[in-house]
Amino acid sequence: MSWDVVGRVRDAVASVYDKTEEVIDEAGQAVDSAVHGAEHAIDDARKGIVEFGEKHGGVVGGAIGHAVSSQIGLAEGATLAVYDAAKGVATLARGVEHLASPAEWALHPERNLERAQTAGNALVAMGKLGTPMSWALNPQENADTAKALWNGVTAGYQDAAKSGDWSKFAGRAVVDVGSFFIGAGEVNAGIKGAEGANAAVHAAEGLNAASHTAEALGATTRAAHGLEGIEDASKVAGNLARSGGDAGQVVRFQREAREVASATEVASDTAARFRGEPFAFGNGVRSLRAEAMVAEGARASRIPDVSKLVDTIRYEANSSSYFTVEAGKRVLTIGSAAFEKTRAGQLLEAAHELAHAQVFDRLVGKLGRAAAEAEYFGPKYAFGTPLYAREEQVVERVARMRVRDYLGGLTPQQEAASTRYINSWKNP
Amino acid sequence: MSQLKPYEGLIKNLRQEIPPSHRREYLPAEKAYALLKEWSGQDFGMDAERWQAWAQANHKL
Repeated sequence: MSWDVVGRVRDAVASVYDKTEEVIDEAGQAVDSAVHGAEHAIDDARKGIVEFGEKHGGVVGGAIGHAVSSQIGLAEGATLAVYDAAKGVATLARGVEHLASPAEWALHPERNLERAQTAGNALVAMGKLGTPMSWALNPQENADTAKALWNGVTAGYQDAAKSGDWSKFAGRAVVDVGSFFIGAGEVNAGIKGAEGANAAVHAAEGLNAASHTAEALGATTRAAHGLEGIEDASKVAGNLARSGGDAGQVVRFQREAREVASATEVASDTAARFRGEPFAFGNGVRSLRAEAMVAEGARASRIPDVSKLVDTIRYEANSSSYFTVEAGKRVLTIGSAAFEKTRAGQLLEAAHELAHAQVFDRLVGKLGRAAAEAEYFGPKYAFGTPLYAREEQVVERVARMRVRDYLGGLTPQQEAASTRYINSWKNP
Repeated sequence: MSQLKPYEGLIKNLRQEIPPSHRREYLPAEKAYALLKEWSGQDFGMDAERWQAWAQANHKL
């Protein structure tokens, strides 16, 4: 294919993208306007109910009017939260969808870099918010991040709160928190739940909504760190877009563009540079993947709250994994070697280090923190001592048993690798 | 395993590849050398390459 032809194809694809974006923008604005128009209409109706109750029923009537109005506000807030969430996903999906296309990368590199940066930063930031330890370690940074994200994600909440409409706020909180735990397909159930008496309780959790949301988004966040991850995210986004009428056009155009790009091999090198890491626990920066690894290792180990055992989880290059205490903080480090392993191997590694953390925790329970630290990191337990060797054997057996049960079995190779490690410490 | 096996840890410590911040895994080079001698019955001095070759040949890594 000559460069003239390639150029014409690129121009044509660019035009298609731009037109598609215009259509979606127009459709989005129309939907936006309709929904928020409805919101105001409902608000007016609610005011009317309260006024009617006050006028015709005195104090009791007013209270009933408020109660009825609050019920409506709750349901309304819930509905709008679902709408805003969907709109946010669709907006992100539209941008991210382009990122996965080599043709689109070639056509609009600046635009896509900006998209990647924006989407990536937002998701990374949300991932950080989801880590309680991250909050503890970087309170100011996280407070700033939280403020920015909170403003961006919860404009609807803020409007409800500013107007003193706490019932609507409650409805939003219930749906937003609930939907991340029960799945988008079951959001309607969340709305029904929001109409119930539990809504008030959930409303109190409203302030925690950002962190809950971020926790639930953790997997997406981690996936968004590399182009490979963004491509995976775009597949999910593509499914959403396909079911979204006009937005589905984007997917079709994007697919066609990808075929063109494949034929001309445009930008394929760019995409390839982001690949090459094992998939276990997602793609992207290893610090977040290490956290995911430990989180799943904790589930395998039936440890309900890792923060009771470990203050910091981190990644370290050119290192094995280890548990230590630094400046009073219990630190679990996942070393780079772990990332060369299969998912089961990574789980074993995390479960192994968590078992060390449990040993230390028990020692703290017996001796107190200071004495336990002196003992555990003193010469008695140092590398190569009989106590160190014994602990390695016990911890590895425990981790293997836990991961075996969690995964429903290990391969003979995984069993053998674990046994070799145990035996190496039996008689060094 | 990426947790350290016995000889792997000692040889790394002999090379001082494990920083003191790894409080349970770190050993001074002299201590690592002493343990290598004790465990293996060999003596290759502070020559980490020779210890490495011996450990590989004897399936200790």
